[in-house]
Amino acid sequence: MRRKTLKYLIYRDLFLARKQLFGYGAIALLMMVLGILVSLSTKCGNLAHVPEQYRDVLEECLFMFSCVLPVYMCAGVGISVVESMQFDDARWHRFRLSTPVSGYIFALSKYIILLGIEAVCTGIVLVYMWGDSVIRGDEVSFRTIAFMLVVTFVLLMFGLLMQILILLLGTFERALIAMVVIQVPVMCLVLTCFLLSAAIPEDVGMQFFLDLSETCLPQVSIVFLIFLLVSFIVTAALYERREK
Amino acid sequence: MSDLENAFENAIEVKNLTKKYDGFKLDYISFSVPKGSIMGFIGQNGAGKSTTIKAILNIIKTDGGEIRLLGKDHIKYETEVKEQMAAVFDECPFHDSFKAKQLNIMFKGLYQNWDEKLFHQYLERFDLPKNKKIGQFSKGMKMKMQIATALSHGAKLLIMDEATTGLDPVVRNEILDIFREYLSDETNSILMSSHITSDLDKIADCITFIDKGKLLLTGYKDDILEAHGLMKCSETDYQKIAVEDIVSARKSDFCVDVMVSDRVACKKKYAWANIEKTNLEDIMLFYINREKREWW
Repeated sequence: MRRKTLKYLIYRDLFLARKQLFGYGAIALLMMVLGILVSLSTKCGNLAHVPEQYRDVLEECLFMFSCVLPVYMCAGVGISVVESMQFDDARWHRFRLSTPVSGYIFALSKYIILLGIEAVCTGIVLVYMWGDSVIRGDEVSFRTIAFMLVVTFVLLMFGLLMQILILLLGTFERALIAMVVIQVPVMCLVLTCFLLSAAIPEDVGMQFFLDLSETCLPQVSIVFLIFLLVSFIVTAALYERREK
Repeated sequence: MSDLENAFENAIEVKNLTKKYDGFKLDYISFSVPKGSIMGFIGQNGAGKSTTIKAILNIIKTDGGEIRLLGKDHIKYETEVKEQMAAVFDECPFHDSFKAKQLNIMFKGLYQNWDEKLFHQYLERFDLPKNKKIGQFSKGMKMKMQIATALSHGAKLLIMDEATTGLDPVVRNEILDIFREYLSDETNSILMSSHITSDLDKIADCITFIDKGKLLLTGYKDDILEAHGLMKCSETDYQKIAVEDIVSARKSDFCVDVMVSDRVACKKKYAWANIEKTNLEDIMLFYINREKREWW
């Protein structure tokens, strides 16, 4: 019963979130295609006219734009999917409580979708990074992969936290405000950090982030797994809650 | 279901149900819905009907009381019980972007005994389009879709919360016919809350009447209708009637309509009076005004 239930609930949620899936996914893929074109372009020496002291910085900016930003877009896909799935209004919640399926199964279906999307998107980005390194003639450094994973984990935690906030706040309007309040500053902060680090001469800023990611990846991974478990329990409990 | 599981008399048993809100209290409500019957749950807006139904469905937490559904405790055996029941609400809970196909897939995951073939039969019978989004359905079509899903997984108990409110008489009649057919299986039961008493006059076997959170009447509809009577008399004759025999009295310029709670006894006691049979709507009206005693 549970497997069958999960299968059909996942179908329901994917169907409801299909527009966000296609929209964000298309944008992320487009950006990656642009990134590949830029890589090919730099390989062909199209940055030769750029003064040498800015060439590395520019390449880093292009890396941020074409690789790291799509990761954020992919995380945005997951977050959007979760958000759209959370717009279970009062009518649905009341009806769902009259069915034999528990809130834990509902929460599990959503988490499977969210993590599945993130796994697929992360896989695509890793393949892209490998392809990009082949084009440039570099090797993919572990630091870069660690940085990308840390960014994904942190963004995912924000997404899961937002899911709980949305369930707690209850209405579409409040959920939308919460989404804007949390996402916009985070997006601005992340973009600002990337741009600032890319703009610092001699690539000091970016090196710092990459070193930090490589060092902290195990700790961040553990925190992420604990957060995942706790947020799942809280989400399931919120789905199970009765009206007062 | 095994014979042992079938061995319960009442589809729903509510005992001393209590729920408190600010300014409202569901006050020790007790009633039973016999297996194989349809119970009309009546009361004016805000009487506590939806609160009672939400308590039965375990959608809200209660402050006291016991509820048994199909012979089992409704919380301890919640999953088991909900597999065999269906709820229909006044507002359609399905997402507007769904079509019949998506509903079918979703319900396959919600109920073990979902019958896809039966669902499609109901769609055809109710003349519901398979390729139209639910958001484009009329209110009557949405209600029929809810009922089609409710009847397609072998539910033994149907709970309807103001489901026919806002529907035109033709659609309401169609739905009542569906319920009669559903009850042709004597193991099926329905609890139907409504303030449209004319529908319940047609179909209900039992009636439970609540007002301001208090239970006023519960029992077989025919017994309730048989017990009550409407006496039309003059103001002078009205003064001769004992207070304990009166539920309430409606005064007009020409006469006084008096609702009595024991028609047979009053016919003997007040042989001069003309006491007629009444209907559920009048009973509801007079009981709601019982505290005023006399009203216009």
